[in-house]
Amino acid sequence: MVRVPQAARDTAESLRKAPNSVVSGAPRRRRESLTVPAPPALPLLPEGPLKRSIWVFITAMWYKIIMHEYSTQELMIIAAARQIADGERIFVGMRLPITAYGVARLTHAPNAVGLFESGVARYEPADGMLYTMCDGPNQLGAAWTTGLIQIMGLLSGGRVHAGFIGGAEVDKFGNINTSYIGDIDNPKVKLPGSGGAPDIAAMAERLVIIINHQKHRLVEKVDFITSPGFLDGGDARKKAGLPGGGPAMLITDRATLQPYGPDNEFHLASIHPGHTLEEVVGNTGWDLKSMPNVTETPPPTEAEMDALHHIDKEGFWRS
Amino acid sequence: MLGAALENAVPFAATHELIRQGRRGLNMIAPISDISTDMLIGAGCVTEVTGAWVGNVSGGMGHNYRRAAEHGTPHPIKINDYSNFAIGMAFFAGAYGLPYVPLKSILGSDILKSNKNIKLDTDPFSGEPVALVPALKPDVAFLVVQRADRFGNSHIWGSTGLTQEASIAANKIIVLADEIVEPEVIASDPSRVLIPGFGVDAVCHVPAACHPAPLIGKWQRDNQFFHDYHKETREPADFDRWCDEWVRDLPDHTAYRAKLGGQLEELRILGDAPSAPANYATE
Repeated sequence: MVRVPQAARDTAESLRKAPNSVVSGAPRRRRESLTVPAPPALPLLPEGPLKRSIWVFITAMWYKIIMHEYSTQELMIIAAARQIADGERIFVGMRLPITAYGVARLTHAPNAVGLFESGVARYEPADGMLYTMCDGPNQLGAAWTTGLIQIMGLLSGGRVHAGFIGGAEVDKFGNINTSYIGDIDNPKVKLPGSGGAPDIAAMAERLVIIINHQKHRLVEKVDFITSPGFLDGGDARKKAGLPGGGPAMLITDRATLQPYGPDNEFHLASIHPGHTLEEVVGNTGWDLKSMPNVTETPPPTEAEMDALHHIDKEGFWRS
Repeated sequence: MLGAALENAVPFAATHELIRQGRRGLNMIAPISDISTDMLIGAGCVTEVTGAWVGNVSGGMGHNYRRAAEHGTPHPIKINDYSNFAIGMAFFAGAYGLPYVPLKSILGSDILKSNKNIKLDTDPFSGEPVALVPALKPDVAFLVVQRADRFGNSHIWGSTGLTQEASIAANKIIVLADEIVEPEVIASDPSRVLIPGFGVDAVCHVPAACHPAPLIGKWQRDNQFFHDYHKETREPADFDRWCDEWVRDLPDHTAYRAKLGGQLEELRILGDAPSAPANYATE
């Protein structure tokens, strides 16, 4: 939801009450916020009600574009969507990845193809809320409904550009655990299991990982490697015989990380607006290093937010 | 084998019947069968689980599965981990008489450590590492289809997961048909036959056998049911209560459908979105 900030509304109100007064170009109350630059100041308010209303409208639109309201989950989804290039074949899992694919399709990647491991390929996102990838709306009008082996065979044959997976734990080399926390034979927590994630991690050209940024989730070393990243780092992945390229990015609710350096260890690449370096490092379970140029994650544009609200009308996957 | 098509067409009617019959010592095989495996574990039917993912797809974790794996409640289970493609290819091998299949997609995963059946080896042609996954041949496979004739010739449409492979690999095939039709209906479209009758051991007419899972063109998913299951089975006593109410105290699937009543009727798909006809004429 976008809102016109109180400052712009105040200005409009004061203009209505005292049309002949001169008001300085910048609205009365400057919002204290790192993410909001002030609009260009005008020395004198234009004369005439039409020009004044146009000016108020422009100011309000300026604030609307810059001061978008969005949640961190929404930024995560949109950051993931940006990782999909037009025309690519993408392996899509449930929850955030399927929403990210939908956003990408509606914005910058109109020709991306979505592949679902149960045996579905789609050109367009499903028309309707999905709770599983097998739901009716995901099958109606699909590009292809077939078996698991046929769809995952595309992956295994090296024909899939990117896959998205989440998980319970990820370590500094992008290995993901969705199987066991603790000992295999006597686990502290038995997680649901792998699904198709190991296949995606092994065989996709690149992998995008989406996990919430907490110390117990971004760990030094996972208890169990369900889905392989760079294993022990360096060229361990190549030595193990894995054909796919491995993790390209880790997107969290605080930052984005990328593998960097000869060890292929995850380094900080960008920090989300409103979050700090100390916070990001403090919530990471390993000694997180930064890439040479750490930027701020670009906030969502209006088009991206519109696409997101269209895909997930009920906000089920964004909460 | 119960749940070949992943979250689609899960044969819950068979799940319930296994629980009602008090079956024990089962090895439950399915890539992902949503809460079906969790129910069978909670009811004490299962001692071994062979699959890629066990839980409640829209709800999160399966409480019974976790209790069995972490605390041995109601009794310990042996877990055979697979990835989706690995279990799929294991069925492929079982269906087509291959002793094992060589895969690269499971390399690098600790599934190679937790599943002692899968062996790491070297490709004799390239010298590259390769994982050998032995064939899987279930004793029984339960398969839900949209329609079948009384001989078991079945039409199925939508994503099929491992239905085709399971229907050939398994020793006994039991088809649960949402609708029984005349043989001419099935014979009119041989390309849509996934399971020919000559492979089928029994065909049962069970409308909405898949509830609460969806069946393309027939039944929508009962999302509220999955959500309620997640809430109502947190403790063993809760699950027992749930299982009594929805499975053990009901004599059969007809009673289950009657108990659901309007809730089930609302999920029946009434719309029309037929496929383009295919002409098989010979002249």
